[in-house]
Amino acid sequence: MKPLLKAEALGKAYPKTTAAGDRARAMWHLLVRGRLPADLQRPVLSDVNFELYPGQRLGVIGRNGAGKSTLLKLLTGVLTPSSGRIERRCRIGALLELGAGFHMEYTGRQNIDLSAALLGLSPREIKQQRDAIIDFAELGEFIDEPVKHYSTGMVVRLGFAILAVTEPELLITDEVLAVGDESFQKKCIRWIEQYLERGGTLVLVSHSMYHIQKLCTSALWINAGRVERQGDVFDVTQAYLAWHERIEAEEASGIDPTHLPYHIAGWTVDGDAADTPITRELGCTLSIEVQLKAPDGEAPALLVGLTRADGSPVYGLGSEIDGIRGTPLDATTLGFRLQLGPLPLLPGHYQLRVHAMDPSGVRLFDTQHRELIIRGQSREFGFIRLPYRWD
Amino acid sequence: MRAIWAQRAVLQQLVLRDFRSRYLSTWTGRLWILLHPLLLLALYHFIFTTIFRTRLPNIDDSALLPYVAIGLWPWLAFSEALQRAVGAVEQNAGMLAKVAVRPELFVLAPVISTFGLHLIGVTAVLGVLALVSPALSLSGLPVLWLAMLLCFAFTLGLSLLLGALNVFIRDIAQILGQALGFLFFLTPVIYAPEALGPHIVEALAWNPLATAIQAARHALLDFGPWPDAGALGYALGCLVAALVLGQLCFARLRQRFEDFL
Repeated sequence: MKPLLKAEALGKAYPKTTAAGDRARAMWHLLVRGRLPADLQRPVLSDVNFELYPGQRLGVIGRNGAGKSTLLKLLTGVLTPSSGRIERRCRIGALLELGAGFHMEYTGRQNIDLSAALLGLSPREIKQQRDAIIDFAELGEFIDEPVKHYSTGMVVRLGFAILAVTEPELLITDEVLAVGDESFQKKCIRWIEQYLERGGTLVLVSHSMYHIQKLCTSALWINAGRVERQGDVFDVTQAYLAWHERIEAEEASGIDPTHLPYHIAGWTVDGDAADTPITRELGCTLSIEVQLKAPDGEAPALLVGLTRADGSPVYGLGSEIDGIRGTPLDATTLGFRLQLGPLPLLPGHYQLRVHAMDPSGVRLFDTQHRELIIRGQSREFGFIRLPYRWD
Repeated sequence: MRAIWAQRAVLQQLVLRDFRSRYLSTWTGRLWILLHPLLLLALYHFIFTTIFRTRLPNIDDSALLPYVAIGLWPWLAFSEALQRAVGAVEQNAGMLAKVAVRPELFVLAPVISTFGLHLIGVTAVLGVLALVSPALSLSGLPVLWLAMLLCFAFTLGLSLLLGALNVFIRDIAQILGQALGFLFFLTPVIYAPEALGPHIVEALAWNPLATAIQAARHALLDFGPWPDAGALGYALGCLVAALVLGQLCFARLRQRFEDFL
């Protein structure tokens, strides 16, 4: 079976035209050499490789400005790649927030004809499907008004109606469906679900991991113009969320840990003292051992906590509250042992933190943390699994 | 070329829509199709006969009106089509940014619709003038059509060339307006080079439009010499050069249109 869409080392560089005369220079280079010189280009996307087979559903994720829109434009053929190549073997229907590509002066009806022709339909096919599209769009008398008089929602309705009736072999879309009113949204979602049930192929760009996980089978994470990760939708989205939360936490604070009288001498998780992330399955139990230094001989308090990757707390417990004083290992060191779990954490990235506190458990002296990755597949939402039962 | 053929249904839509939106959307629009060139014809005829006091040798004065008409319509088609086509890529930037459509189509559409329209216009006007002007022989119409076809190809090549350059250098559309103003006087529309002497006819042969008009006037009015082989060959060369150069530049620059619009 041949792929519907194949990207090979795909890249795009936009021209830099800051100085006066850059446009003319760019034109000259294009005319004479057929390409732009390096100093007139700014790469925004490079080395994207993937194949999309019939029935596959690919989610594209990444922060704003990462290059997602550029990739979509390359896929639909609006942009010409500046490096690499793209093969298209199907009729692509694109419904993007950028707009449906309507001619603003034309009426809705005329735009239907034009869009259908652009999709490759013959005049006879257009004639056959025109009424069905008008019915689906539910625009009433507006169908004979110029599109420039339409509201945003109406433009989306018309665009979606054309797609739905002409049934593309590959649907490329983004969060555009959030625009229409609720009843039309439901109609659209119902159509997309049916389209996918029929085995339709999809490329979806979204910031909502919920939608990506719900609708897609694989994912492509773009960061700063490069593919950061691609593959199974759960792996990629979880890695992306963890990265995203970490970035946000880093941007929020940047405190250096300082070594003070009470500090952590060492700690292990399931006997492992390394600084590497701990990877466990959903429902695991962690065995944690911590050694605390207390130079004055007073027993420091130990705080153990779980946070999400962005630092928001999930759970915390303190030795002082529980009346645990630790086992003296030598004159200034106390050992603590803790069994934590089974953990009801949903798959994702977390942090396990241990803190050394003063004996009264008031002041925080030292903090160490390790990344905790919970693996597994789950279509539940949030980060913790609560017991429930359908009655 | 194959890619353009694949999108011919789109081209058809664009041409039809262009046709309708310009001329058929209002009842006055329908009138303007003929009214605008007819008013121009009346004006130029007035300048020609009253201000310049032109007399065509060896032919009666009833031939003056068709003489102006035969020059006017090819010129109108050329200048209107070129002006509309050169800005076409820029004007359709919104669509080009959103859908995969060949930008050539936006250049082709106004050239086709403008020439189509004026071809019908000139045929109708000459049909009517033939009733009042005995010098006009409609058997020469195919030559006029052929001349219009040559002008069409020449215009298309120039439109592709200038339309592509205009994406990068926006002044081109502005400069073109001025240049057409000059070119109007270097094209024998409101004067008769034959009346001014053979050296003027020769000098105008650098302008392929003048050669096309000269051929049509010879065929329809049996007036003036048939363009010599050198002038005809040169005009054909201009046409081919414009088409090849236009197509070549457009193909090279097209890949980056989106980035510069």
